[in-house]
Amino acid sequence: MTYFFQMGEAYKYIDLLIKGMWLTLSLSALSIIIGLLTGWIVAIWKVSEKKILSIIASVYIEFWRNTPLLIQVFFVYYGFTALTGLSFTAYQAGLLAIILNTTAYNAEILRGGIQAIPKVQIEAAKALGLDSFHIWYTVIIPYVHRIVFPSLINQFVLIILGTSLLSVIAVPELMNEAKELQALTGRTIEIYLLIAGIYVGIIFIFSAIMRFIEGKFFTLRH
Amino acid sequence: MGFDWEPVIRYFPLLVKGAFFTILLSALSLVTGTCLGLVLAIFQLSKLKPLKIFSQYFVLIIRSIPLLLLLFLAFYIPPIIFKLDTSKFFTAWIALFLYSGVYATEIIRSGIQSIPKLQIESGLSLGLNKRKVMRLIVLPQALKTIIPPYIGLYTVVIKDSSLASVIGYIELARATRLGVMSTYRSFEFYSVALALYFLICYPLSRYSKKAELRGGQ
Amino acid sequence: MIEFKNVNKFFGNHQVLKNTNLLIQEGEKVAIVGPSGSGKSTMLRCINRLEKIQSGEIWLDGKRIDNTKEEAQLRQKVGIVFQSYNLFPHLKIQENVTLALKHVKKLSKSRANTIAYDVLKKVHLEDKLHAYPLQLSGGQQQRVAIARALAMDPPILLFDEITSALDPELIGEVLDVLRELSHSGKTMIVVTHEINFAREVSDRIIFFDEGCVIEEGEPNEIIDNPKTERVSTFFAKVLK
Repeated sequence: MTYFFQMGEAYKYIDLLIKGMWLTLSLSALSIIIGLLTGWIVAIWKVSEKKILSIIASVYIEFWRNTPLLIQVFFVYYGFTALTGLSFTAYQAGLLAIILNTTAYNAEILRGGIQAIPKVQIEAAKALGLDSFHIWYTVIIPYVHRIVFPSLINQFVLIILGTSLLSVIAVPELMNEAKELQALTGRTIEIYLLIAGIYVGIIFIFSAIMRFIEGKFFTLRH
Repeated sequence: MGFDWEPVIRYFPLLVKGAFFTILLSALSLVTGTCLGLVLAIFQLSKLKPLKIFSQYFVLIIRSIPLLLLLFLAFYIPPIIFKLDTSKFFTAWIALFLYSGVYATEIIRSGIQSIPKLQIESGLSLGLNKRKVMRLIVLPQALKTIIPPYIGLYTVVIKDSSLASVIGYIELARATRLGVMSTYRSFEFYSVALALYFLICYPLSRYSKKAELRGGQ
Repeated sequence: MIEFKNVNKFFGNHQVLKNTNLLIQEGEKVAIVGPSGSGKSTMLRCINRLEKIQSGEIWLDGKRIDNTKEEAQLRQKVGIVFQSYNLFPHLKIQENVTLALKHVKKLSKSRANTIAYDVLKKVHLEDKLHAYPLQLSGGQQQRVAIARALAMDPPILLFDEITSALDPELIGEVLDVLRELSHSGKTMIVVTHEINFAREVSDRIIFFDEGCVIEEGEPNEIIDNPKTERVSTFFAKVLK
């Protein structure tokens, strides 16, 4: 290589990267948790017998799943302001866009899980006298989580990686900080490879934790 | 509220041109990515440990970094390390090629593995050699399983191609951005862009769902 | 003639065949019975090299086959029908039967189709030539599987619990085909749970358990006067 890897200078600014990483993680955590809750709401609407709820859910899901996250981010950040006169900070807009996006994907995953529950399970619950709320709370939701956990993990990983898009609207998460650092020090390749390593590390650890949780709480025991 | 649709209507042909390049870039990336995916899938199914491990780790790592980062690496590595002068199209293509390839691997591999082992044994028991069993029995059936998720992958690549705008390649997202930057009509432009992407992706995802239901028989 | 000499087979650490010795004459109809997991299927699958052995020898018509490289050749002489998933769902019945004729024996299309028609007639399904496997019942599918094996005209036929996965009312039609086949002069080895059928059709019954031959003999002898307790308990349970 005719280009020396010089990390030295970059180490001065490493705490910038760490700050970015924490923001990435907190954005991801918020999006994952809120997105799962809203995903459930939309999924329940989609399978509801009330046609109007089902249609609204379908439209929502199809819209957010068939358009790119990047444009969604731009739309929420720049376009929304024009629409409502409210102005979001980049952080708010980015978070909102990711949540709106992942809600749709989660809804689809959860819907698949709901429809995959053997009918007899629901019938058995009804026969025991459980009311609708309890059937959802004690039977359907836990069961669905066990069936679709791997797909959800996949989606969560995509969220973590997706936060990198917020760098285009200058949210100071990991990717953005890397760009800043690169502009500051000129050590382009070293920095980008470094954060590639950080992302891989984050995902590896995250996946391992998720697999552990899955084994402990979310496996259907045979 | 002040909506002015005139600029975006004026820009519309450019947006459509961008959409065309979006589809072109995505199609090329997916086709080449399939070749990569096939190779990696064969490695993962082979009995040679080093091939298997290499392929598994390769896929795992590419899937663990953001596409945007992959794009930047593809943008900076050729000129800085290899002293190659590459076009933006090439950069975008390389990143999407790797990305779609590793996702294709998963689809192809699980499609092939979904064929019951007894089918293969039936074929072998009739005296067919391994290659013929693959060609006549495994692959025709695997294809039916593979096609629906593959169409889904195509929509993913189309959406991800929007990232190519960040390095300046002119496809739909970039064209939209250019329009916004010169006319400040962000809501109008982005909503039209969303609509265009939707028009491209929605039919594909519907078709994929239909194909999935048909294949399930 | 098939011979097993001190055959041992392991799946990992688990020994599935223990010093198995077996001799099957040409044209014999042998039924192999015994509890599940006894190694019966594995033993059958060793004959056409779907399973490999760790020690011992297997001989077929004077040639040693456990270490052969010519597996495809071997398999042309040994037909096998499995418990399930025999047929190729993406091919029509006719294509299922002619596949090996065209690609292994390299027969012409017309010749292959003629043979296919003849064997399907033997199993009474000649009218299903252009149907797809999933359109047929389980019993019909198994009969086609038998026809497909017959099409290659192998001197040896192996049947691995071919009725075990069928609904009870469909078992009869498959056993009828086997009954008719027993007059064909081919060597037939049938792993089965259908004891009464075995008694009726086979020349010899072998009781297999925990990887070895426990007892073997004439059907009536072994079922009515078993020499070991294990065998008599088994038959008592199964024939209740």
